Amino acid sequence: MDAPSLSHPQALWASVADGFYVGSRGGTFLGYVDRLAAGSWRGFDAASRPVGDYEDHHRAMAAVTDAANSGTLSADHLNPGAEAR
Amino acid sequence: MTDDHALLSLVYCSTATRPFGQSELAELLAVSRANNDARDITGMLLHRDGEFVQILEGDRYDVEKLMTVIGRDPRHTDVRVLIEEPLHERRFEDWTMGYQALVAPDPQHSEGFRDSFDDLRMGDRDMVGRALMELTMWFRVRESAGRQPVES
Repeated sequence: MDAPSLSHPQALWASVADGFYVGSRGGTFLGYVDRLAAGSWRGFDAASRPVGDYEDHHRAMAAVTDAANSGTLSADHLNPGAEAR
Repeated sequence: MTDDHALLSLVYCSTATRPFGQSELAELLAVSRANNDARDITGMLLHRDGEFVQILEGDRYDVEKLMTVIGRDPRHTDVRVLIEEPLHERRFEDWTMGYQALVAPDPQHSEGFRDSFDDLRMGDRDMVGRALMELTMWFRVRESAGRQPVES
């Protein structure tokens, strides 16, 4: 995984449930990683588009983070009802 | 629209006072779905190892009234409101009380990662907001998968 930089600070990956991780950076949603029935791991970008399938979750997270680095998507679509404070 | 009818989102956590099996959960969901449907309240329930997190959304008056009733329910204790914020659009409009079984992460695969459920229950305001986003994402993905053919 790339070292964090000013333009791309460290991504934060959280374990949500067994076999499911969600990545964010400074409140911005990056994407998620889900374990498939076959045991491999599929990464999804912030729009829930598949990024690829990987043998382990670390590689899947790195791929999602890399995909996010090539574009900026807001987390707002996850919380469309939240009013700005 | 008066303040009483403004949309409100309320998130609380609590601890079960006795073991909660599948039958108790099913009964809880059936009753809360019927009550919520009558009040036009929507939301999501999370349960893991005797700990609950519930999201309620609806008219402020109805949600706050329901929260008062929930707070008196002897089936749980240590009820704490984590978030109470206005909404202009529902996040769970399709669910009178959505539920997906939340299985704790495998320790082998979760070491070094934040635990969303714990952060939601015990984190500071920033952590709670992030954890809520993460759990909502998981819920939507699982709900979506349940409506589509299983993929492998």
